Amino acid sequence: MASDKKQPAGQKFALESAKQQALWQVQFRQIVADVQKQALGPNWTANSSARSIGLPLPRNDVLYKVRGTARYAANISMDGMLYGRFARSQEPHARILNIDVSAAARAPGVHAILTADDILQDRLLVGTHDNDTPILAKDRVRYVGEPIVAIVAESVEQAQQACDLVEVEYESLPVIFTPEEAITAGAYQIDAEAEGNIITEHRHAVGDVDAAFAAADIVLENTFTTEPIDHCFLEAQAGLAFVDSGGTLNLLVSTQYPHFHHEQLARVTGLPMEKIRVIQTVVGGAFGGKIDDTIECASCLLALKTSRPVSMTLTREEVFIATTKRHRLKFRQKLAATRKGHLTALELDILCDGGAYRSYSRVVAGRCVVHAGMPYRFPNLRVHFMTAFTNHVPSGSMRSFGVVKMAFALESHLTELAAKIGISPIEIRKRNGFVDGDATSTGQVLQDVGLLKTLAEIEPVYERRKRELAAVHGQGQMNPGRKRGLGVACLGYGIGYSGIRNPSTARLAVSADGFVTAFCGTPDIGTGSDMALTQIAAEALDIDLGRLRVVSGDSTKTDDSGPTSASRTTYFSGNAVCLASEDFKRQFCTAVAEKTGCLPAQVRIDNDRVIVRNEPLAFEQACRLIADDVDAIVGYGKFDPDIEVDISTYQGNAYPTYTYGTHLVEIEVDEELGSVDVVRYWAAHDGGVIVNPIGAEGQVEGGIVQGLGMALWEKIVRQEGFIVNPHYRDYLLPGAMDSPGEINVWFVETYDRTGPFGAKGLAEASIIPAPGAIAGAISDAVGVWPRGMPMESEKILELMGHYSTDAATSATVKGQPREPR
Amino acid sequence: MTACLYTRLDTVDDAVQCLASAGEDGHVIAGGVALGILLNERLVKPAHLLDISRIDALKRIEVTAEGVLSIGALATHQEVLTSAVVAATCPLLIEMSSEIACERIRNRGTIGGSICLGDPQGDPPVALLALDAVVRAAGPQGLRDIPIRTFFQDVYTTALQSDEILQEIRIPRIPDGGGMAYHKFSARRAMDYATTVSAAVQLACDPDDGRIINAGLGLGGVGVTPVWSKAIADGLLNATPCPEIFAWMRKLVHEELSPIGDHLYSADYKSHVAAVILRRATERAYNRAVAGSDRR
Amino acid sequence: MSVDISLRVNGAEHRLAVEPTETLVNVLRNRLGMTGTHKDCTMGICGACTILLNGQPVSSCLLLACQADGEAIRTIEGLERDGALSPLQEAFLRYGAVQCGFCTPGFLMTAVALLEKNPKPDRNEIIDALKGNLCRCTGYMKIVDAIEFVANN
Repeated sequence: MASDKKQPAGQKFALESAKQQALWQVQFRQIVADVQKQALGPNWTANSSARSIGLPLPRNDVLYKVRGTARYAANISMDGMLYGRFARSQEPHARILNIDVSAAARAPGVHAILTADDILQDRLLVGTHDNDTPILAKDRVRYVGEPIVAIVAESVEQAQQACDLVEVEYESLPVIFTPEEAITAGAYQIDAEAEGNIITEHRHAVGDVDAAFAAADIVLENTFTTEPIDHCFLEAQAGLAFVDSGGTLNLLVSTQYPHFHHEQLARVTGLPMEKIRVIQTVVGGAFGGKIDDTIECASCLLALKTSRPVSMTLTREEVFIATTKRHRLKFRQKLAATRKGHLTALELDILCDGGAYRSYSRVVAGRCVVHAGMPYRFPNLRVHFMTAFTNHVPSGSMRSFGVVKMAFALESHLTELAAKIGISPIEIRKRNGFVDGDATSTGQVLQDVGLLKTLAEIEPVYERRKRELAAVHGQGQMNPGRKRGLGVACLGYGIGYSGIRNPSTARLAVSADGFVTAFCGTPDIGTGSDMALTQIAAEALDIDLGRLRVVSGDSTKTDDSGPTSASRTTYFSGNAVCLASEDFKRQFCTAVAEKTGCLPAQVRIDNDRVIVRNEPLAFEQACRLIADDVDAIVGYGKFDPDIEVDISTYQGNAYPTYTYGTHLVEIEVDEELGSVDVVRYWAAHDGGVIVNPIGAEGQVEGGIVQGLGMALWEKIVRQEGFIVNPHYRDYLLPGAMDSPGEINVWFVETYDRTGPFGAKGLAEASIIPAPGAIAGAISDAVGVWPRGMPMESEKILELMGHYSTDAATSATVKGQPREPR
Repeated sequence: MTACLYTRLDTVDDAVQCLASAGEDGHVIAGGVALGILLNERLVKPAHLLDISRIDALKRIEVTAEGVLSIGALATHQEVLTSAVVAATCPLLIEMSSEIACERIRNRGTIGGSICLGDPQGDPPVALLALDAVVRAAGPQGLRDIPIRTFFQDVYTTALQSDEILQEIRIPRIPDGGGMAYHKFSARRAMDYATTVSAAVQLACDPDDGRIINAGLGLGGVGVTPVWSKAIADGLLNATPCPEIFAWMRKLVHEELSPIGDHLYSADYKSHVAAVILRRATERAYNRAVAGSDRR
Repeated sequence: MSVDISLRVNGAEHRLAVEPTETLVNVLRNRLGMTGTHKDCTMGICGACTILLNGQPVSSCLLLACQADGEAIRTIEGLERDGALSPLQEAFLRYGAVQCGFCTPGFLMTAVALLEKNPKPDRNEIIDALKGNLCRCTGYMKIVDAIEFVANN
């Protein structure tokens, strides 16, 4: 039950009792042992199963997910539970003259109504980096969909009906729908603190850009655009708030960052931190979209107001209209190179639609600036990045924090440059790609760079397919009107926050029956990070995987280690687990030594046994031996690499390490319609040592398909501030048939000297090259360069110039037409 | 909230009677796909649901003595797709049904429901327009046959009267030597709905010289209703496919159709797409006719 | 007006009174406590709520509970056999077919229906069968792999 204060390790995964779970764990361990046996071959024996890094192990949480018992927030119910809904703004920008909730209050089943007036002014505003977003709009609404009233009732339907009865009287204010309008002199100031409607503005320059352009053999310059994207995690934001018998406010919530909500709730409710507990439930996908406040504060305030458990789940439409989006941006990119294909300068001028509140706009901007030109050497570089307020739903963080959009432009220009000077798109990247000892634009000297290894992996495939396609096209084997093309793109991506310290911690504890629990602050958001941490801990401690549980995402049991975002969990929390393991082993061996009357140095853990002098003990035997003292053993590790970029000069170490990769895509274009089919895909990644290959592959494949989605189909479309496609019906997510029939993923061999067992992390970054690769492939196939995403069929056809009313007279009826796709 | 009534009907007569007595409140539900979406979107609040989904008489798929393919209004898209009778007589409907969403939707959605909805994007209306089908409705005055080419009147508005229930769809005997094809254009390969363009072509050709002697076509997603164009169909008569014919057909598509631009495509692009896929469907139908087999 | 219905869910009979406009997914989740069937788009597009109605996959978000009166319904909770994972469940677990898992019940039920009808589908048939289920995490490859493994064994 949710109110159970003693939550056994691992129980957060499932709705079942601990006893039931234990039965399933037996089966699970059998499967794990099976996989280990398969992976390790003849070397494997029942008690030599300690090796776990690099094994394609199944995940504990998935056991419950395939059985339908996983504990997603909306699946949890409690006695007396009420359901909350929001009444939302129907105006993009308006003064609120009056909120009439009298009819709603009389509606059947209604228990409580919350408006901004019920919240103290100094507690009203929330936000991750700036407390600028009202939990409920007070005097003014800034976008369509902004929550104004929250209502709890006996059922979701009743709460919704009551919300429909809320009457808000508005007085329209001037609306601003583009950042260009926003920064025009005299524009209405959307945010009181932000003069000129600027949320954030960054300038970064290295070298002498103007001289480089003047001296350049080749200059490319274009304006690129991208549309807002929705995260489209399948599980909408959901949570359950209740006050337990001890008076503690509990929030079970689908989030990337429980500690953030914990801190916010303390301020918003006025309760002391220790009287609030935020526990992450099983998260049905996040991708950067679950690190802002949506239902958290409102559901907790309603639970406090009614003294009843309050469950809130957004509808899919609400997720679309009222939660953060990937920024829409427009930017000019100018690139200079020598005739020999050496890059000499890059200039970027970027303007972003930040939406109505700040959310992660600054973080996105900071990361984009630091990643400008990555992963290539640009001796001269100048970036101007500006994000402005508009009357749109706030833009926030999403997988890669904007780097994927920069890569779309940069990789397009790289491929175009290669074509101009007559070398392959692989060669241009080999000539300019980062190698060990190169410095980034912030002056950070790189090591353990595997970029060229990933290019080397892709190059033979590219050369082979290039020849094969040339033959196919040359021999007229293609269906008429269809052309194939290949596209290449690379990535370089920093692990962790940009240019600021962001430590992660871990604690390891052991029980008398031989089970070890790793408490980690960074939660698993569906990626399998708990499993990766389990594997790292098992390897570090040299014990069997089955002994380990990871507890993460619980504000009471774990330290604030930042959110699971920015690819940081494997690297940061993994390192913290390694440090904690050393501390744990020292304490553990000391305790065993005391009990057995030998020196700590004579005790060590080896292959799931404890060797005392030269006598091996089973691990659980050793634990029983020190049963009285096990509670005192807590291994602690804090990983806090020295990261600092001086914001005034943009110099310093931006990230502790970087992940790299190269992607190759083969597409087929219908020349008459302009439509693109993705046929095959190859991806080579440098993620350091791969902790769990099957998990890593899945992450890369998923990132690729997300990247294809934004490259070809996905866009949020708005008219007068209203999102016109807030459904999967009109917002086109790639399905199984749209994904390439073949995705080949390789991990190149690199060992990161600073990573846990050589690991770097890679999941998030796999989205980055996809759009750039697609753009290159379109150009390869039909000779045009789309500069805007999504690269829709109509736009491609327009660029091809085939899209005019009489073009069809050229159509031939020779040959067998292709069956419809 | 007013309570909703629910009546399950077992025969067409009962359904017609019940619909008459329910009057304005009556809301017929078959597979519930379209209604389910409207309910979830809170766009309808039915006062009285008349569930006809269990009227077995409306699920038959058969060929009548005079060679008419009769499909009960309640036949699901999946039943049409997997029907041996349909496969043997009218493969166009198989090709069309395979393009409808996915199996999970086809298992509930019915051919009758799709026609009654009158959605300009729906697949079945487009194919049935090409086939010159007749819609048979049951009402208080008995049965009424409506040519499908006059059935779709305006946005989501059909010739079916509010007191009528769609009973069956009748497809006249397909002449020998015929070929047919369905072609759908969408951004993604499956599951697109709101912004698709589709074309269905049925034609027969002279076995001796290959001239088209009979042609029917339907277009979807290019106007406020599913579209049938007599002018384009007639223009194919006595011709064989050649660039000139297609150029002329393209011109007519641009003149005759008024697609509506949406958040994905402009009206002009939709016209362009319609012309291209109509040509492709015609070519394929013609090749099938010439090959003497209308199977894929 | 509520309607008395009976639902046979995973072999067990449930008698209950529902509102005519109540969808099956809401009845399963809210009345029967069977939350394994997930609810997302409520427009029949995402496939998360896929269940089997008399052996055929349907969207439980669009199916009114009263229309399922007397019918046999299978959900993810009914896949296990004798306290052990079914081959498809185990394959999804082993082959990395699950990340966040929210779409998983729908994919599993779709796969069950596919293999019951066509025990040896090829890869293209599997992909075609999955075209109505959205997954945002995996890129679909590993889901297809898992189903292919079961089909081949």
